[in-house]
Amino acid sequence: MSRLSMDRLPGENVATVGAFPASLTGAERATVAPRGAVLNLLPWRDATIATLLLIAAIAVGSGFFASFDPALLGYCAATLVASVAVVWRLSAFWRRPASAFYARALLAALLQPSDLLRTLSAAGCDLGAQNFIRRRSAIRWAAHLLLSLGTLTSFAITVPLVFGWMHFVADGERSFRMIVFNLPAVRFDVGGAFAWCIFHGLILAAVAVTLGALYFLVARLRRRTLPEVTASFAIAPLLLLLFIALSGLALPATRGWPFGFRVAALAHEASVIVLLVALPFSKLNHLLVRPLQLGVRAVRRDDAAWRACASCASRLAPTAQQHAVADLLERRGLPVASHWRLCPQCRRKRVAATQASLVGASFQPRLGAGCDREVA
Amino acid sequence: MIHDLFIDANRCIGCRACVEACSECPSHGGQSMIHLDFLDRTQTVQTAPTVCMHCVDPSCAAVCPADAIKIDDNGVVMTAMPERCIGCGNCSLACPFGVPQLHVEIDLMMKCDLCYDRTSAGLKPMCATVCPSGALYYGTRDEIEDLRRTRATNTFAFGDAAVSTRNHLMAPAGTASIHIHDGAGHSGRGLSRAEQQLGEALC
Repeated sequence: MSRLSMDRLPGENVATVGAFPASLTGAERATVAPRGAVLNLLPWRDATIATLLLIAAIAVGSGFFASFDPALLGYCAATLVASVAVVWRLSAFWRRPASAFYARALLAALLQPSDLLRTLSAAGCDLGAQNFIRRRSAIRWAAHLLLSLGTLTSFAITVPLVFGWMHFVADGERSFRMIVFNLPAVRFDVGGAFAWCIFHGLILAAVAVTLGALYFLVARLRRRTLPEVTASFAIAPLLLLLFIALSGLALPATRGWPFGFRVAALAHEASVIVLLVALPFSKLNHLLVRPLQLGVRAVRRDDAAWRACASCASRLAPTAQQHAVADLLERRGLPVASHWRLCPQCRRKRVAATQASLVGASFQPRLGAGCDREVA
Repeated sequence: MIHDLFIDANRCIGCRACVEACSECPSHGGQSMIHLDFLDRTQTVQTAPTVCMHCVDPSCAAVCPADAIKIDDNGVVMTAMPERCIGCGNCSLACPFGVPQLHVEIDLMMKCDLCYDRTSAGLKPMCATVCPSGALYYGTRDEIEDLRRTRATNTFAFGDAAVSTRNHLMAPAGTASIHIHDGAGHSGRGLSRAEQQLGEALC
């Protein structure tokens, strides 16, 4: 059975690997073409700047490594490698002409005070609550929420610890004080609810990830004949997340058994490092794509200027989007004709009417005539 | 070996068997990926089934900002990957055949993927399996041209834009490329009020 190649790099589609119009500059080709993207220096520049800033933040935030925990050095090194890869990938992807249109729209919406609230609200619905998944399937939404919130919670707890941005010091007989960026923060009782949440946060996150990953693993295996369900693309990331969660749960469970604890710690560290490094090159890289949905919200607003179908006058698309798509098509050597000013249904009718006329149909169908709805 | 699909709208009898069979496919849960359109109900009962033509250089994939539309090594253009699709509708605007279905409510584009789970395992796609009139035929070019007087064509011209596809439309022998009407003589004529009312009544 033929399988999809899901693991191509940034502009990874085979459709984007081909002859490009001579009008494209080298930089444009690099942002269109997957292999060219490796040669494009702008994403490398962004990745370097971001990683240098991160290293500076680690140095400053940990009091110039005074509160840095050497036992977590492996995690820290993997996170720095991951930051290079993630920013490079994000920058290369968002610079593709098709993505750049929505990235610019998102940036403009964030910079425009009148649009900022609307964009933040959309971020809460789309990225936070993930409502679009709920509308696709409620149970998948619940499982995805467990998986994503579990993962994000564990990152939110571990990253500040790994970078030395956060640590705890005893403050009295039965209380701790949290130190954040070398500044004293909240003081809490060791037996209180806050302490319980802090000290059990990773366990709760691991349980959530386990439940979510198990659901998706079962769902994928039940639908393994579908083209997108490949071992490397759809199954491996779930197995990795499951392994990380279970090895994380094994850490407190083996605390009284030194050998078991060392094995669990080593397995957990190795699997987390694999996840961090693989993050931008696996199925998990949809995290880097999803924010563009906010750009779509900004472009497809009801109060934007919309174009109507040139034939049936139904609402077609925002004018800005139509121009952007026409520009993209022309960049690829596909000059946009009047046909592209039609709605999809009128396009289909036009193709069918042309074929009918070729075989000598006696009628002359008029597009936009009669019923413009699909057959119910 | 994935064969080609041959579409002859003139043989379509509007029975909707393809639509119903398509919606049985588990990969798109109850949604049909086939469009069945009446051309002009004031003049004809002619219907036309439209499935994805699987362009050689698919414009839907080229304009996708999320890179959600993948192409198989056999040239089958897949439906959008749900975890990537951001529901922008670029694909819908770019496709000259009007194929991608944008489901705004779930921010997802869905389209025909040539029943990839079936065709990659040597089976026919659902639509061609059930089509009683041969409007949708799955096989090889030699097979279809043995059966029909019309010939398979997979190159199209939309104005100056040339498009080649994996699937074929049936056209009279000698038709090297199908030039899609620019609309003159078709959409240019306005409808009388009576014609509009008749069309609405027939829907």
